[in-house]
Amino acid sequence: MNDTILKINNVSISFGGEKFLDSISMSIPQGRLVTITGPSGCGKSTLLKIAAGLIPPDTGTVYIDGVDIFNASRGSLFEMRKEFGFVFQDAALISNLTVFNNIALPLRYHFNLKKEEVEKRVYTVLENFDLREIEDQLPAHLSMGQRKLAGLARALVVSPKLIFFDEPVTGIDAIHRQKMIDKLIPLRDDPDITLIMVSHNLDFIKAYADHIALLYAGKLFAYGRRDEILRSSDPILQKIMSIIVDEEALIAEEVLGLLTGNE
Amino acid sequence: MSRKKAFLQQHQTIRQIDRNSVIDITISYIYNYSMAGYFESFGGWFLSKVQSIIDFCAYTYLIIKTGIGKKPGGYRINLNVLFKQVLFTGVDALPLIAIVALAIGGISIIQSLTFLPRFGGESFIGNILITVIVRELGPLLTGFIVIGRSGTAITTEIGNMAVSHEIEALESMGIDPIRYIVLPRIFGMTASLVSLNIYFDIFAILGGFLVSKLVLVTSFIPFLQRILESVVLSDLTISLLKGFIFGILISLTSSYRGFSVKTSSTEVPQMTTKGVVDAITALFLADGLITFIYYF
Repeated sequence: MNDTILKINNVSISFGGEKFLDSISMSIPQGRLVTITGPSGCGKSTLLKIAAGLIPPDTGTVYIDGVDIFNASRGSLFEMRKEFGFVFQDAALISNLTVFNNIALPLRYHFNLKKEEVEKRVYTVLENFDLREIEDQLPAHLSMGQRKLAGLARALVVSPKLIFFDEPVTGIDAIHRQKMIDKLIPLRDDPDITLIMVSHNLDFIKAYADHIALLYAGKLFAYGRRDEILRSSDPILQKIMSIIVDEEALIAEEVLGLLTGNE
Repeated sequence: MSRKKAFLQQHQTIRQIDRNSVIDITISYIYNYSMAGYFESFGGWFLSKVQSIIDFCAYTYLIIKTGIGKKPGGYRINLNVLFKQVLFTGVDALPLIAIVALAIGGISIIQSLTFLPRFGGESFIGNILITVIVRELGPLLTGFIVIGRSGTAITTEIGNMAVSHEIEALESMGIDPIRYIVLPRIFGMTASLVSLNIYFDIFAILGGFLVSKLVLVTSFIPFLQRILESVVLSDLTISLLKGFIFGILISLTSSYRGFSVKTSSTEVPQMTTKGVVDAITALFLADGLITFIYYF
């Protein structure tokens, strides 16, 4: 249960000569929901993409199930990723494919399934996510909430054991946010599925995270169980948390301003 | 009093910045137009070109390696992408290619007839059509049309996919973008270009015939006979070989430039322009090289 599924060792990356992530090391236990949080621009999404093998770091290693993913061959890395899911901040659905075909894509590509079997599995997911009405729509015609739900559906159709999320409940309306949370809770409770999530939403983190990784200015400031982090009396840690709360309030204020026309 | 002082200080600082900027700009202007500056900028340009060529070679190697590597499954979905590419590059281009080929065939005959009758050379019309159209203009013009229609589309499509993280999404699902996006386009475009080349030749000869009929009152069978007598197997082989190589080059350069887009949508039109320039340059170089090797 507590076996390490993902291990990040001393990872650093620079952009334009400036160090963006500095010597990050952390171990992610299997079957847990680990959230990576921190103020805007601290490198959360970059760390998530490095952990998923999408961006190679300048230095350091990442092991998934004991395999050093940046020293594995290109082909074996693609094979490994069959068992991962990744839900992007903007959903990143393939723009020229309908919702149905987006969800069917990994099944058609990786598994030699009959057409009927693919349809059966995709329709099961579509119904589970209340997406049947929009199955023939292209991503451009969907709201962000619908796109994110479709993105999660696409990630889940291959029954992954490790899922990466980049801000899954941010930037969407309340109804879709609740739908998204309703789909995330059973995943969190499944001991075979590990969730690694970048999130700015402290309410969500406080309610659902098992572990919290707190990034600040490209460094891993704190990493541990939720209660250890949230109840910590470290003044710097509390200050960083307050920055995240302030940013959240600012975003909410800006959205409200846009909605009411008082920018 | 203090506000006035602050105002003066502020303006003093601005003037100081302005003066420094002017001095900096002047120094850099003098340096850029000095011999040292010229060599430095030339060296930078040269190194960036060498780096581009190395990157392009690495990209080509990756495609070959992926192409010959085994991959279970995924063929049906790749075949679907390939058919779409053939439809767009080949089938949808048929009307345009027909119009251009008819015009080029006709124009070649009109131009030939301005000087051939002076020394009784009307019978060489077939040879001229074969030499000009089949050997050179057919593959080149078909290549240019495909660059304009499909090469730009490939760069734009891949560039936009990169900006909207769709390439990353494919990778995260374990789908190799080279296998899913690039290889079907290379096969589709190459097959289309070879076919369009033959199609171009047929319509260009038809255009030549129509003009010959108007001017020389030639009937189709003798005209065709003269054309067929002028054709040698090597002309057809070279034409098809050029179409094949041009197809590979256009799809490679266009897709390479598409993947060169990193984060901003403003890079997409820039890379599309670079892709067109690269493809045209590659076509001329390859054309010159093939012609030189084959005919000398």
